[in-house]
Amino acid sequence: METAQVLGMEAIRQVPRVLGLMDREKDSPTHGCADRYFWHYKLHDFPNARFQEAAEILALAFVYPHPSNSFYGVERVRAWALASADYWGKTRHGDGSVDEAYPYERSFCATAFSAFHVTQTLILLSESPSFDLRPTARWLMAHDSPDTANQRAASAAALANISVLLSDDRLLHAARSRAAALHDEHRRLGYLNEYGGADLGYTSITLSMLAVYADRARDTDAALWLNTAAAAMGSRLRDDGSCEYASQSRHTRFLYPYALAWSSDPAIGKIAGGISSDRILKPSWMDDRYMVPYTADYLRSAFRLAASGLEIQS
Amino acid sequence: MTPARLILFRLFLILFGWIPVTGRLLHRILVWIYVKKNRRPYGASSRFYTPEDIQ
Repeated sequence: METAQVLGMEAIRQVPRVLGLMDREKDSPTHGCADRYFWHYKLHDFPNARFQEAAEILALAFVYPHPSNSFYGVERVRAWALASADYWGKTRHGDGSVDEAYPYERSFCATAFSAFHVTQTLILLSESPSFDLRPTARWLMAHDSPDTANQRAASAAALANISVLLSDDRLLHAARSRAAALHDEHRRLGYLNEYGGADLGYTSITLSMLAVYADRARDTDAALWLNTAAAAMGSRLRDDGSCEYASQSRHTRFLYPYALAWSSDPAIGKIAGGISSDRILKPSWMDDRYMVPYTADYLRSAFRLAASGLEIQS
Repeated sequence: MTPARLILFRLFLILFGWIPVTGRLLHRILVWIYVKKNRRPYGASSRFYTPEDIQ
């Protein structure tokens, strides 16, 4: 089967699950909240902002034209994607940051990633933000997480997305600086730092974020570097799509495929093969929290491959 | 730990140990009241997605 189709079908199968996580009742005060443990079960005292990343899955489902995708072009799906983005917008702190683990946490990871996915949603659906993105951009510029390349890359991609949405060159410059810092670190260390070592799974997230960044920022230098880095990552995949994880700094077993799709690397065919033969960790096997961004990456990859017309067999 | 330090440590626990214990108890009571007040008239398994939602 074609790679785009395998990735796309695996991701589209998660959409009903994502919709079940979301409060879709229009009159509800938590309309758009995708943290079911908060809005429905009330097991949590505050909503985890990372669940709002589901917005991008719904936006991609709305625009991904495939016979297996019953959500394509369905206006309600588009409205739910925007409701999810809006809920993220209104639950931020005054300084634009968000919480994941505890109230008033102001998590760099959650702010960078959720801002990235929400802004992806707005760009995919050609919508202007109904809330002010500037505080979040300012907060991301003022904070950093030097030990985790994937979070820094997410902040670069989020800043580039916000710069596109607000037509603000200052934010674009900040995004470029952050991406350049990651490139310098990679040159210096020979890997992308994840808590003092290299980790292939988190490197795949970093490259995925930077691939989106390179497109938004039209950063050709970064694109050249990313192509090489993606090829190096692809070369470390076994034939069944799995990779060695025990020696990695974070022992990560997942691999985000978007950088491979973006660089048209044939190694993505191994991932599709691994999904078909149940040899690699796929979104449907993950818990709710990790399934959301992983599914978004799968669907973004399928969308990219389908749009480029590139046919890679699994 | 010297006897003097042990006494000081016990004194510290007696003076301040009630704060986190009471805080956690109070928090649980407030969560219980909140959940009771905001309980919705449908079951916990409801409101999942079904295909009729997009028809």
